[in-house]
Amino acid sequence: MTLAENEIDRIRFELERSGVTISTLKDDLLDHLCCVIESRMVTGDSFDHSLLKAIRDFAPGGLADIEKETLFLLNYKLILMKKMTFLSGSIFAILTSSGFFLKALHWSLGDTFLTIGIVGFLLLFVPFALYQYIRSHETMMTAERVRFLLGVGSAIFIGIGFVLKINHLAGANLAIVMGGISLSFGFIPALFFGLYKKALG
Amino acid sequence: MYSKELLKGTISAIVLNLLSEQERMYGYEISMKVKELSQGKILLKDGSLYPALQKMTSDGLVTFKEEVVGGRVRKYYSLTRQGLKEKSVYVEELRDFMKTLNSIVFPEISTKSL
Repeated sequence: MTLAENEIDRIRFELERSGVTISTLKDDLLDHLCCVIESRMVTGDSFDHSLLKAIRDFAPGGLADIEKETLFLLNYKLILMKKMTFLSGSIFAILTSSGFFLKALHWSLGDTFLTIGIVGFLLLFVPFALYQYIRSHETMMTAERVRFLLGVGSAIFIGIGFVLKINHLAGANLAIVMGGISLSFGFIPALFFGLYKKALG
Repeated sequence: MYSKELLKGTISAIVLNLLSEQERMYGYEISMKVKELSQGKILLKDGSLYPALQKMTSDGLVTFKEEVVGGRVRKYYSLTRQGLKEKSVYVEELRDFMKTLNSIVFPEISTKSL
């Protein structure tokens, strides 16, 4: 028993209507449902009833759930990393801003909050965010890549310099100067040049 | 029939083991074989099989060849060299897990078997 072309099209339509978009998964599900329906029709069941029963038995929660499960399995590490990025970003940003206000008001713990906030931001949030940005922009042009790295580099140097400065440690000025040079003569000109080119395009 | 929660985490070991015994299998064939071997107790419903196959393909454990059968594409899965190596790890881990589970939930069985 082999299904007719219009019957296969009908199953394909049901898959697409349910929101299954990954083509390799769609092929698997289409073949599976065809096999189930064929085996049911051999026993005298109608196509429509077999289709309904096959989908209900195979995916009681809907065919889209299979795609959701697939995407979760395929992107599990990325999802976890995104969670870590936003969690670390928010925690260290809160610590940094709290530290800034505490310091401005000359209250205690200002320096500690600022140090933990900035160091955590640089050591956890920046690498996570950098990795994800590069992964999601694999086709990024060289100029864009350079601009991005200049921006991140400047932020890291200035951040380190600031932490060294508030803790009265050596090397603070050097780090701030390097960050300042990279920001003023690298990132900012590259950013505006990029914006100018974009406006022309 | 066993619950979906019990089967989670064992599908990869089941599929890798089956593929190591057969040269190649397609999805429906895998689900039918599992049903047959488990005497109908393991039904790979709820779409658990295909997400697992996609993940194993993405991890390089299995590969597939497409063939047009009965007017649609059928994907025949087979083990890669890495999959063959990993299969032993998965199966061993599952064996160890079952042993541990026995000693926790059914201590009388594990004592007898010793």
